[in-house]
Amino acid sequence: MNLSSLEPLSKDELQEIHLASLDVLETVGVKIEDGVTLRLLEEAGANVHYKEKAAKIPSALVEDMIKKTPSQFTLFAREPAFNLHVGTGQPFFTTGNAVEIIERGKRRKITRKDFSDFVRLVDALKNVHFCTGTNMADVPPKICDVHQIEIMANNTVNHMRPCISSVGGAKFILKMASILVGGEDALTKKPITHVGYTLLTPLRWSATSLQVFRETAKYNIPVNIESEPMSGGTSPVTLAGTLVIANAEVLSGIVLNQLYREGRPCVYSIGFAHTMDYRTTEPLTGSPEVALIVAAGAQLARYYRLPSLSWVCTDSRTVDAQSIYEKSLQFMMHILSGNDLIWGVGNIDSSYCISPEQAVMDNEVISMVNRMREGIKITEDTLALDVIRRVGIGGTFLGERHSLSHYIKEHVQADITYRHSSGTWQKMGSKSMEERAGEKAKELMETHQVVPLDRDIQQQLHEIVKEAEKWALS
Amino acid sequence: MSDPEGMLKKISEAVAAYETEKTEELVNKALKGGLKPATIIENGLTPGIREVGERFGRGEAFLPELIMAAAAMKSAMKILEPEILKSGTKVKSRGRVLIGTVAGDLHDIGKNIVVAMLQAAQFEVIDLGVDVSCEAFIQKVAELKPNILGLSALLTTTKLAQREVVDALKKAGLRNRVRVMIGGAAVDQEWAREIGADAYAENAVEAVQTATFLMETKGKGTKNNRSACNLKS
Repeated sequence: MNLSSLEPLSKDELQEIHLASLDVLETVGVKIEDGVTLRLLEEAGANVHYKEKAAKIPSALVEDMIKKTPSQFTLFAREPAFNLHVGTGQPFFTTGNAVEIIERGKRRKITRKDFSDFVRLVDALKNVHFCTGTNMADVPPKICDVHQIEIMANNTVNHMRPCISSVGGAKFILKMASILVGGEDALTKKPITHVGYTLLTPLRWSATSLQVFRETAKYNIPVNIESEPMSGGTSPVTLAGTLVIANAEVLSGIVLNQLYREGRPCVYSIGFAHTMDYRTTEPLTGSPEVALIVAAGAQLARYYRLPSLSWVCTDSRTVDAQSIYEKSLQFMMHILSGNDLIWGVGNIDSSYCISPEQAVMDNEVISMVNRMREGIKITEDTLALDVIRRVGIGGTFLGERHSLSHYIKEHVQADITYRHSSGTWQKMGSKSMEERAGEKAKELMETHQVVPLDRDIQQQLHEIVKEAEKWALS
Repeated sequence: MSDPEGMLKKISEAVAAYETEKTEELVNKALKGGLKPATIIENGLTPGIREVGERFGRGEAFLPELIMAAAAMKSAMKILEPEILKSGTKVKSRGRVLIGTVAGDLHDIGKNIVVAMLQAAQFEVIDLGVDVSCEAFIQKVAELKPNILGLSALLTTTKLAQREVVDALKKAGLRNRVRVMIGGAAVDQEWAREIGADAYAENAVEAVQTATFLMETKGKGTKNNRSACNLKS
């Protein structure tokens, strides 16, 4: 049996959360900082207060819009072999936004060069499917998103997910994405990029997020609807109360996006949840409570037949035992609860940092948890009764063909996990996991070759970046 | 009043137990009994919130206790402020802080914690809220003459607004009259230096230390050029 449906909630409990969230949308409502959206909501039957920029959304409208949202869609890649069919039950992994990079103990601001290397590293890691954009200190913040997609296009064959920060940036990015897939019509069919925005919990949509949603809806670009509650701060301290608010928030985003464009692929996400530490005031990303909220989120998404998304992180400020233990536990819960898209490969320090060696270790943890997710296969062949009879009492299974053929199928191979003997370990320099991961990351960044982007396309993309730079100064 | 010391202690305890209604009730009683508003603040409310602040600093109290104690103090201040205006007396404070989240940014939880911590540390705090325009900051600095201006920004895109405010202060000729302190997830010491702010604080506890430092140096020093002042110190 496959282990991809670890479920913290019963059917009745799911229903209770669903009804409570509908109640919130109907009686409390959502703040909508965008006039166009308010008008659309009013036309659809919501109770709109223009002065307060708020809308109370009737349950029937919410349930109707959920039904219009597809359960599956495809994220396209530069090379078709790397297209991702989202919502099929297979989880896909990506990196996460950050400000600084920690490499072998040294911390600095992320630069264009760092991000290029990181994208290439991710291109080489077999369990990580695409890169997410990040801040970079040496590009103007206003058009960081435009630089992100140029870097991705040049350093990976994978799907590309820049972090769009303005509607102006979105327009440039849509142009660049069109060039990559061969025109604007093609972009509507082949989303090589997607967008996402987080609400300002509790219950507020910013003007920028709604404008970006509308702009990208023109090309049916898939969209992540991200609730990022901080349990105890911006949402109730109880996990159930946090789920009610977060679920209401995501459902509101689904309504808006279906109103912008019916059938638009939407990813359900309460997977960026934090819990607030009342002693230190820090929003935690690696707590067990976060893992529970995220697991319930994946379950809620399945309840609505929508793909889900989450973000794995740690509150350790560096790469160490804490970063590895917290992220391993999170990966286990996020994967086994059935999230479709999982962010945060390489992230540490509550998502303030990325680290190449952490990315290499995360890649390893993912392969191990993916194996657990596959579960135990029970067939006549795997029960191996014939082999047991043949080997008999006191024999060995080493010489059996059955052993060899099933070893490859059932036993995952380690990459940087150490599995040799103690003596060999000492002879090889007594290196820790972090050291081995650091060496592997360095090697991959220096040697991994990415299928180069067509020169002409490279040039066209760069022209748009230059255009964006002029716009940023205007 | 027969036992003013006992009354002030009770007020202090009510704030420390974050009992808003009881604090209000006691403050009204104390006023009727003839205690001066300044005395009530300095020897009643302030010791109460300071105690919670100190317990929080030692990791013995949880954040909601501090926020609720600050709320109890705030509601008592609403009763006392008109009395203070009437009598024209002055209340001792460690300094006046004007604070807000910059234009385009609606995040306020971090700023609210800073406000509560500053209040707990006897600063007078005027909170302008979120999405505060550059003009509003400038106008309020001119009008209220704070010692410190606190600018919060959570996003890498909105942190640019912190620079705009600092530049606008210069243009308005107000830069030398106020110390500027910045905070928020997207900013750091380096950014403070780059935009010409006087200080950066990483969290609410540090914000109090930084504000105290800025007051002690009376506008001469900035936390940026004090090399001995480590972020974590």
